[in-house]
Amino acid sequence: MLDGASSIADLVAQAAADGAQAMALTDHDTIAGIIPFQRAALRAGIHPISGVELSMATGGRIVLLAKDADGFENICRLLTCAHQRDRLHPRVSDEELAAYTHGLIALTGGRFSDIAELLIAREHKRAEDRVRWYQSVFGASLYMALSRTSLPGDGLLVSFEVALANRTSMAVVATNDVHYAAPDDVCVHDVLVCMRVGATVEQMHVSRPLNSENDLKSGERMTSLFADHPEAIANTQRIALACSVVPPLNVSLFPKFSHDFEDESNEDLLTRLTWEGAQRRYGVVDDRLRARLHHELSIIAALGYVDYFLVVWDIARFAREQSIRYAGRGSAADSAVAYCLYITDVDAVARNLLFERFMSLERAEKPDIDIDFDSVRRDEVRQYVYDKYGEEHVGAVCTYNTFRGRSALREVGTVLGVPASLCDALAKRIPHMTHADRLERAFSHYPELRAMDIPVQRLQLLLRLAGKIAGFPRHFSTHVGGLVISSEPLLRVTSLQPSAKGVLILPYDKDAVEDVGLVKLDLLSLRTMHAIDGTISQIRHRDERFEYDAIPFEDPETFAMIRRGDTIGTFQLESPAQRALQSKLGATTLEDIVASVALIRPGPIQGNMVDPFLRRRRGQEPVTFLHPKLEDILAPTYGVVLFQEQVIQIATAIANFTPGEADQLRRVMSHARSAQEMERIGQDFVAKALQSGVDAVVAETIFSYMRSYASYGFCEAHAAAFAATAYKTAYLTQHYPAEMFASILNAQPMGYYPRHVLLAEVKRRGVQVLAVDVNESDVNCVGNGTVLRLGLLQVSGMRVAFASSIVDERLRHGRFLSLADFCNRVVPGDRLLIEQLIRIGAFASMHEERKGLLWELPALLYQREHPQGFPLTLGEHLGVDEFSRAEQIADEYRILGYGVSGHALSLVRPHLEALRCVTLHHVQHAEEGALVAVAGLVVRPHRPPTRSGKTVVFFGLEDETGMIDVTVFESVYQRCGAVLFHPNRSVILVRGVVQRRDGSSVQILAQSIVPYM
Amino acid sequence: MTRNPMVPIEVSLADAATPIHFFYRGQHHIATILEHWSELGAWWLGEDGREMYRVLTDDLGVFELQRDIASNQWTLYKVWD
Repeated sequence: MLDGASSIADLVAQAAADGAQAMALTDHDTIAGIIPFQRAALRAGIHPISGVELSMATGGRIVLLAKDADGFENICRLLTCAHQRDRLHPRVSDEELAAYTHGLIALTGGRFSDIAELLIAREHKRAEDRVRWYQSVFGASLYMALSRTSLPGDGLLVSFEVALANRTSMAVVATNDVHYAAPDDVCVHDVLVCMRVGATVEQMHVSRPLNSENDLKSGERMTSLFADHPEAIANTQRIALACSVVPPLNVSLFPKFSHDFEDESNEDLLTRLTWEGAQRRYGVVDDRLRARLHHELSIIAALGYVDYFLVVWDIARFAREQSIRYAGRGSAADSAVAYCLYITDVDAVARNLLFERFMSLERAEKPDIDIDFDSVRRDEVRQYVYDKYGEEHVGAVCTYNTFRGRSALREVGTVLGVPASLCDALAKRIPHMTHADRLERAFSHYPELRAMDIPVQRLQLLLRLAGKIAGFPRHFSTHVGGLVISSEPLLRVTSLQPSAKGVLILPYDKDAVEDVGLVKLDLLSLRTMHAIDGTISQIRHRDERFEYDAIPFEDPETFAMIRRGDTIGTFQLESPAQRALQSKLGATTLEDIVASVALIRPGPIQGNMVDPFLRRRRGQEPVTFLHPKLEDILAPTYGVVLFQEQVIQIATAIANFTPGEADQLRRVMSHARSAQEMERIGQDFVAKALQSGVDAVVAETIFSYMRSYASYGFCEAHAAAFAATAYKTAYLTQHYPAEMFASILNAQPMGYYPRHVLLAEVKRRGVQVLAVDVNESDVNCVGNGTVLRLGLLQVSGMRVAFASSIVDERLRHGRFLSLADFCNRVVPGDRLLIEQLIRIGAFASMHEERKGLLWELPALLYQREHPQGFPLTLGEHLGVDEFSRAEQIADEYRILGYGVSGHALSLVRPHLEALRCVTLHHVQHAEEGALVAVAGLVVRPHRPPTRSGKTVVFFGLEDETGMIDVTVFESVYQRCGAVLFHPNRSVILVRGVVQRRDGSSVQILAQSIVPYM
Repeated sequence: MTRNPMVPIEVSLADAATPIHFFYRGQHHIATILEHWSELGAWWLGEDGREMYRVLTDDLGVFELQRDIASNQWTLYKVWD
């Protein structure tokens, strides 16, 4: 991290080009790169050696290479000790090193070893003592590493090291302290080091590279550099031969599920649980269901995943028993067994979903079951897993935070000495997911980036360097839900390191954990689940009989709401694109929601699937099928290939593929890297189609459609799993808006919209929003029928403990009578928090004024601390002017994210009227094509991918009368984009044309955008 | 005491990179190269890398010579009095 300036792939490729036979990866204090390195090296025909460069607590570093599995385990143990001692500066003690030496080769020496430090200081005796200690620990497996990287003192250091090695009968070995593939990459290395040590390029730092000699040198070059020490070169070969490839890949480390039914095998247990679940789910198990379950169970058993299913079943069972809300998602919902085990809630049989999309004999990949849990209670589930399988056998998967456009620009800019404010302004204008290696294109394309005050040459250098570090790892973080369970102690195959929150994580990402034989369980945390749970709980205060699971899937009012696009607050359906789709789609069944979830994705939009789907659904385009066999498969989606499962079904029906083969075909098509590869797949498909009697031209046409859609299609099971939750949240939004929006606010941050939009929406639904009040508010927001009371935690910076103490005191001893009473009775929290409460009017039930209370507060707090002191009362006697309404609203937006006393735009409405701006309410009733001028707050401007590749910006515009969607096409965007994406501007003036989507919801097509304030 | 003359000089080489004589107020014969290293230069300003040589001359003078890698220009970087 922040040291290696070339990718593993580049280093291995260069080594292979140089004819290297073996190569060791010895990253500083981590084995994170070992698995991808091993994979790449073996592919390139290079013998990979696993190792690490370990920092010693006594100073300096030592290189350890694993001779065998025991050696690798010892590296893992040492790294775990080091990281647990100091997460940010891992160090291993002498005692720890001495305890874990079996199976290791150690290389001391080199410029950064403790030996080198002593030799450079001319402490020859101490250096020799240290070497002899290492020898007592490692014996003949200790080597003196020689390094020549053209640094001052190199010659002298090497001569000292050779002399010391001779005195102590120690072998020498030539090493190359590689940090990048080619000398030109040293600039990138320098930038990364500067980031790590917090220096700019103009500042000196001992860690910065002096020259460009840390490149990957060829064997020939190394032999030439060490021509005076041929034995040092020969010993590299000896070491390589002594090291085997570890850890072994592709073994299974998944644990056997243990249970109390002693006379029942795990396979029998899974079968029994499945049939029992089927009985409960369906009542009657018919032949179709029986055949399906037999089929799935046989594949699960054949692939050896019986224990995996049992482990996941057990976790779901625990969650149910503890009333922790959850829902399985992803391709696991293609499994009827998963449905019968209550892992997922999608009836795979009724939906005719293909199990082979999830698991097949042909693919034989590890299964991947993802479950969303209530975000607040997910950790209870994780703890259950730790408790059941033991801390030594469970760990969290990590992710590598890599450099993307914004982070690369910010950090490289800082290193190059670009002022922080300018770096920040630049980064904020970069579209969110822009890749760092596409920044140069972004600067030529996005108008808001052009107006920046930075010299051209410096900007070019910045963009070039940012591009060079694109995708480089920046730091570790914990995977959102990935957990591995191992049959053997994890330290056999991985080190463990504490995350910032103290969770022990593996340094491997999801691909690497699979390679070492671990199976990842995704126990995800979904705030929507928490919002749903909160809503149910609030509803039950007034309707004890309410049952979430009994929500009818045919509620006409809910579908009418969805068809209007009134879906703010609805899971998966609230984005502007989804709301626009709903107006056109006219959803009437859950199937339409499933299609909606799948349609509004980058793939279907770019693949031009949305419009044909809508036209055919509305009868504006005939629904045709290229072959009668396609009718059953594609009829539900009007002849459009929308789901990945359909591609599999087509290949099965037309070309007689087995479902497993067909899924492999789908996956290869999705990831095909070249035209030749795709052509080869096509020939295979057409040949098999011909064999099954399909006309060649028809087969070729079908393949061309599949090819177009394969990479865009969405997993139907996943869409179905999300759709059920989406519909139910829509139902709650329609029938229980106060409770639902209160719970959404309590679960923030979640969803698409900021707080002020959510509150405007709930008010539009007829719910009265009541301000935060210390005498009325609970800790959280509370909805009750037609009223929503904001909770104390909505105040920016509010702590749960302080909010709870306010509520507890009020419940115990009655309402607060005054600010003085409040200050006397509540354990004084942060004075700033009380000020925040005053500024948003949270004492309005006792005092009308705000500024006077702010004046009075210091004296009241002083009196509480010094009850015998001189009484001070200032506020009421000073006659301070109250805050203006504008000041009050500004405070409310700043502290609550919402104007309780009024909307920001209401303050400037007279001026806007003078500018001939109309309200958004007026626009809702304007005629199609009318030219209007409006003003409002910008809500979530974004630039989604488009079919044409041109930039189209969508954003919401909100004023005191509502919100409207605005669309900005490329030409207007090029003129006005800088206004829209200004990080510190929120109110804008828009002039544009009114458009109605299919005669219902209204949007504005912008012609010009200018800043207002 | 040292001085940094930073003046261009002519250097005779034994091979592609090993200096044997240089001219600075007369000819100096290099008895031995005490130290040799390479440096990056301020790459962010467009500077190229350079090779540095600390040499002992026949008349027991110690000098640091600098070779600009891109231009192959030699400079007398430092004189040790």
